[in-house]
Amino acid sequence: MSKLQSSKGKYYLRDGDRATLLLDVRTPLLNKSCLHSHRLDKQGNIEYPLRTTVNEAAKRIFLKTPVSMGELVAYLRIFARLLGKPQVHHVLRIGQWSPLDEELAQILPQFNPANKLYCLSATRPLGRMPSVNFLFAEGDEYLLPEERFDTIIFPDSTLPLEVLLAVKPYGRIYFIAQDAQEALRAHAQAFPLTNQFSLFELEVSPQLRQEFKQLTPQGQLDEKKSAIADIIAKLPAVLKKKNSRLDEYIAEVIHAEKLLAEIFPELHSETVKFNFNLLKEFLIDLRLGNGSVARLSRQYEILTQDLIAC
Amino acid sequence: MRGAYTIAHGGNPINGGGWNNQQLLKDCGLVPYLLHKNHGFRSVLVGMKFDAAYPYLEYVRGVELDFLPKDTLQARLAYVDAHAADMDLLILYGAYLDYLPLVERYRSLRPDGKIYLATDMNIAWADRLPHEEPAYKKFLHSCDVISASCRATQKYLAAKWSVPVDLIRNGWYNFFGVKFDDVPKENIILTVGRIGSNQKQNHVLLEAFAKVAEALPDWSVRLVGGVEESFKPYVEKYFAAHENLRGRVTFTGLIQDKAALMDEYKRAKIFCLTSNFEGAPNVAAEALFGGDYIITSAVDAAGDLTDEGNCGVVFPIGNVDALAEIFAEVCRNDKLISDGGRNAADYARKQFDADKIVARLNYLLYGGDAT
Repeated sequence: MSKLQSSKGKYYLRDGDRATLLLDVRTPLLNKSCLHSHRLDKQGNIEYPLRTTVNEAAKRIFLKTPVSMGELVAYLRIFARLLGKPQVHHVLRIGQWSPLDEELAQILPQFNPANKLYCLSATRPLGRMPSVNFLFAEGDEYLLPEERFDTIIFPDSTLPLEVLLAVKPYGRIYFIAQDAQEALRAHAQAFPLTNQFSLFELEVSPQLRQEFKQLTPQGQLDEKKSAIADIIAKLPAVLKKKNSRLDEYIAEVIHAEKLLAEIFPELHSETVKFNFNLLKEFLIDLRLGNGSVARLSRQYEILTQDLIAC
Repeated sequence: MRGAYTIAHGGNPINGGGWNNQQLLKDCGLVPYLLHKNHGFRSVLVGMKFDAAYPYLEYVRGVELDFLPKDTLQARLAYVDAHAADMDLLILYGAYLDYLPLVERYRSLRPDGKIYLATDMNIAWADRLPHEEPAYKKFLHSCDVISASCRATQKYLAAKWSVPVDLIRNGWYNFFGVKFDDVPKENIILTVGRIGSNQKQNHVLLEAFAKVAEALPDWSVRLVGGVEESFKPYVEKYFAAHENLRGRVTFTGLIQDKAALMDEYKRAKIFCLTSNFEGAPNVAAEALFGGDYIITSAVDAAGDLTDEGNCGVVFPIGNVDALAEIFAEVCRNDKLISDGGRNAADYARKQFDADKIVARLNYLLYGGDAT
């Protein structure tokens, strides 16, 4: 079982002999937030508002729910980020509302007044909570905006695509699990909590995000659109080669037409499928000696415009 | 040698679940014939024996007829089981969902085989098909090439169905060695088909001609094809009311001799189609090859038949007055007719030549491996 340790403004997670630094609130050079590392009071004494705020929050969180070490580790990691860059930070907490959220909601604006906590939950706590923005979960669907949150805290080990895409590039997702999903393992840092469970910190790089994006219906649509456009764009070059590889190219066009038929209901154009077929027909006519390059070129222009429009 | 098997749709009253002699020279016989003749396929037409004899087999030499013992799905499935090894290409005519078991059986036995579905239907028919039902989608997606026989239907299906739809027109093939440069054109308005059937709406042609006959004294009408019994009383009344047209409106009856039929097209300056619905009528290709100026009702294929106005004109379905006005204008315009007729013949050679059409189909099926 791992332990949390703090020493002179530094917070560690200790697992046997190994200690992982979670947060350093002592070094002013690391602090770009609105919470000052130190200041003088009226009597000329030095105060440490940053250290005090974080310490007190950590204590409160730990005292309230001693079993929630994983969440505390996550919060300390979030605080470390809040110190690192003077950007507005939007945190989304998904899952059952807990008293810890209240702590987080109160402390976030101290780092930057514009920071916000959002909470996506099927239930809402009684009483007013003006510092928290509640989103409501409906059924199994996570209807989240894309690239909206800097940090997401997720209660489950299996991350839905919508959650992965809701985080901004280089944003982070925290979740507690025995292991990370295979596709995410290489991108997630594990903070061991017990023999079985770890807190995972997943940084969603633009490349990783793009991989996720391609798994969504929209991503697959975009990928197919792009593949179709690439094939059509080759036509002028193919025509210059005077039929030498026309059979191969037509095979590509036939493949692209099948892709287009798959995504056609999602496209804005009503005519693009028909126009594509005309282009294929004119190409085959040309290949069989019955066509005209001028007619094909005109159709290429029409189809290109149609593809751009959708 | 690739084997192309065209299996007839079951329970069809026109051909009793098989093929009739006339169909051998239409697209369902012509396509297999040209796949055989030009591309080396072994072409087999499979179905019930409908006619006692098939004299047109003489024209589609090499095409084989294989008769089923019963007009049932089981008989068709058993046929596929027995011949799958030779069946490299399965050809189906008509977008019938009850082909699905046949298609599935074929696919299971010949995953490498090809399926060509020729829909050859009009939009009113297409509109009623359950295109969003999973079984129907499965049927469509099982086919390698699906064709429509005119642009309007192709465009319609392209927007409606979740599969590519290619244009394979009902072309014309010169079975009889017809020559096209030796017959002078006459002032004849020609129509060809089952005269008097509800679909053909021939009364529209007769009424319209009656309205302008006096102003066009050197023009006549010829109606070629068997006359429906139900239409004969109308014809009697028509001549009773227009006694002066007896010599100018001629019902030739059915012309079996295809060369003689083509002479009719060649003689006529105008071909007139008055149908209330059509997919892509075979007569249209014949009329275009005959160099006729086309006047057609606004059927689905009207744009195809007139090359979007280059060789003809379109009038609203059933509108006698509009057709009469067109007769009055077109029949007096020799240049329009002769230019339009030339355009028609040129257009026909480019777009309705069955050799070219089947070559494209073969390429669609086999790409660079087409024979």
